[in-house]
Amino acid sequence: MKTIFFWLLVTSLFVSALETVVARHQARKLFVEIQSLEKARDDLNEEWSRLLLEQSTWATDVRIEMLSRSRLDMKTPAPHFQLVMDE
Amino acid sequence: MIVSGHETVSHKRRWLILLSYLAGMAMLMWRAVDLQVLNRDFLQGHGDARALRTVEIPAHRGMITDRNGEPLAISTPVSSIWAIPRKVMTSGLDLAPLAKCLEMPVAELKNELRDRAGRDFVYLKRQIEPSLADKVMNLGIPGISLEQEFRRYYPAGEISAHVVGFTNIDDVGQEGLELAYDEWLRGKPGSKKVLQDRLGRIVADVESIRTAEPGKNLELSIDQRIQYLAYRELKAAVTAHKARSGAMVVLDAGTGEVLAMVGQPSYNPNNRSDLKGEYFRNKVVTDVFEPGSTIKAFIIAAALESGLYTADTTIDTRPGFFKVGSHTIRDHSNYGVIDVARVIQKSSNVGASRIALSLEPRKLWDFLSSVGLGATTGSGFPGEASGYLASSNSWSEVEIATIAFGYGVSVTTLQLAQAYTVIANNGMLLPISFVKVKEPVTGRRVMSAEIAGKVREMLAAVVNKDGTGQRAAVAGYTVAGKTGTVHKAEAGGYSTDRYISLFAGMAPLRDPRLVMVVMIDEPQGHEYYGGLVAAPVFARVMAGALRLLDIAPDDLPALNNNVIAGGVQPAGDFAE
Repeated sequence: MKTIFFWLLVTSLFVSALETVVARHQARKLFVEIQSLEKARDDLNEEWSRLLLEQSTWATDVRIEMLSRSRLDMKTPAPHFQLVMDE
Repeated sequence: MIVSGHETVSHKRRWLILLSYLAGMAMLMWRAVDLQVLNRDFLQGHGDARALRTVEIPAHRGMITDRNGEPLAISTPVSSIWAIPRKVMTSGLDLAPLAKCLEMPVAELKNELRDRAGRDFVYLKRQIEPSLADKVMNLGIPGISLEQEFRRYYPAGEISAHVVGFTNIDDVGQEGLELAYDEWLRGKPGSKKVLQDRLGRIVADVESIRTAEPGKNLELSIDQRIQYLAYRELKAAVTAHKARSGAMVVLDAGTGEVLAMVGQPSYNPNNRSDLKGEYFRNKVVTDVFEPGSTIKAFIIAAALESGLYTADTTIDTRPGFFKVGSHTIRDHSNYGVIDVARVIQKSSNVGASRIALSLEPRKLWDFLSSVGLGATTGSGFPGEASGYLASSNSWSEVEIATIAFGYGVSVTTLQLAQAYTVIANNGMLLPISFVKVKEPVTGRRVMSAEIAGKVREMLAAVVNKDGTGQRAAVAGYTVAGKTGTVHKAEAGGYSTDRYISLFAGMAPLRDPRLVMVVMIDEPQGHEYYGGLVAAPVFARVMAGALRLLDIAPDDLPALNNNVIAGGVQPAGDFAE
């Protein structure tokens, strides 16, 4: 009886040791995975903020006004060219 | 015998060898115990210190946008290069390529490393492009590492610089709303454990200790389109009149939101290495000046509120000047006997002083302070000035007479705008907000709606053909406002050739949507009247802002031929 109990303990100790190793390994693997996903997210965020910055730089009011006046030859219509729709 | 003697010798030898082995083993075991048990903590700690490192994960600072979501401040990731000087110097590698990447002379780099040889962390260059950072890392110099940081960019540049402010290199707000809302914008940096190799490079991530929490975005009340318009016009006016500086603010009359706030001269927040601190100051909230004639609107409102006056009450301003004590108060010309409305329209100092002197000082003071004079607007903008309004207990007759045309009191541009919002908003004083307001705002009543309406009517006359502010008129809209031309105070009195030109106004008249104040400091040349310098700026920005906000023209008779009445089919292919 005592020996059976002893061997049971030994086995369970062994199994739990193995389990610990597996769990540890999996935790590492998952951590690495989450790191790479976070990295991907950060890269996308980085790209997004850079694109946002680029967009707002291209679309500054100064530039839009300059282009519409010089290249497209646009101007604000004088009051006598304006029509008001009175509802 | 010989054999046995030989045996004794070999016995002894065996024991000797065995003993020496035993001693060796005991020593080894002792050493093992020493290392594994006795010095375990110390050694483990040092081992980890060399291989394991806790690194901070920087948190993204929140974005600042205008009310329509246009970005005004964005953080983008950049890299900073740091070094462990000892490791770099002992590597024996050529540092020339590194110095070239960092754009500094080799000698300087070496000096820097030598001076700080005792330290374990020295920044070599902060906030560089990720591509350049990769180049540096590819050199493979031991002891050189990267750190991820964020750099703040301001796409709107100088146009919104005074409102938004800026952060320092450590991403902490220094000026403007970046400072005021620093807590809100700032993220909480996280940290993680990593494994590094002999050269200090990060080999693997071990575990996460705390995840980084990004900062929250901030949506301002600013409308970037109006902001740009205001900036452009103010800058043009300041340049044209060679003025020292200028400030302008546009408020939403219904909510107290700041739609635009610009100052001149401004600065580029993306590159401010060689700028002086005075440029950073937001003149709209920090610079006080005497409001001059723009205060008359409130003197008249106080007069109407007292019940002693109506719009038709006449005041004798003959002969165009009068004496209070030893002080003479003058008008530009003799306006004769005029009614209250005319006092405003012609900006008569004599008329305003006579009205103010007839009121009870305490009540006048109560009224002026209730519209916000002498107290900050509560906007929470860093460094906001409160202006000055002396207690009525100390008022002398001369003081009351001069306060009536805006001397002896001081205001900021924002305060003046807030005070005019009371007239625009039917007598309700609204708190000023730089952040987009989502719920309806409840103000504090300081003037009856009827009187506010009457004062507006009088202010509308200022912009008429006859008034001092006719150049503030906007085609198609009814506008109300008041000009101001202030002699600047200087040592020993008031300057005779340095002025501040002011215009404060609102539109459309019946239901004002926008309140605007323009202040131009020390315009040079012959034109210095508020009606000539500040009013045109008001008109141009107001015209643009009304159109941008899609506010329908209300002065249709002025556009006589250009109105298509409802129900009539316009010419062309507009059929539904």
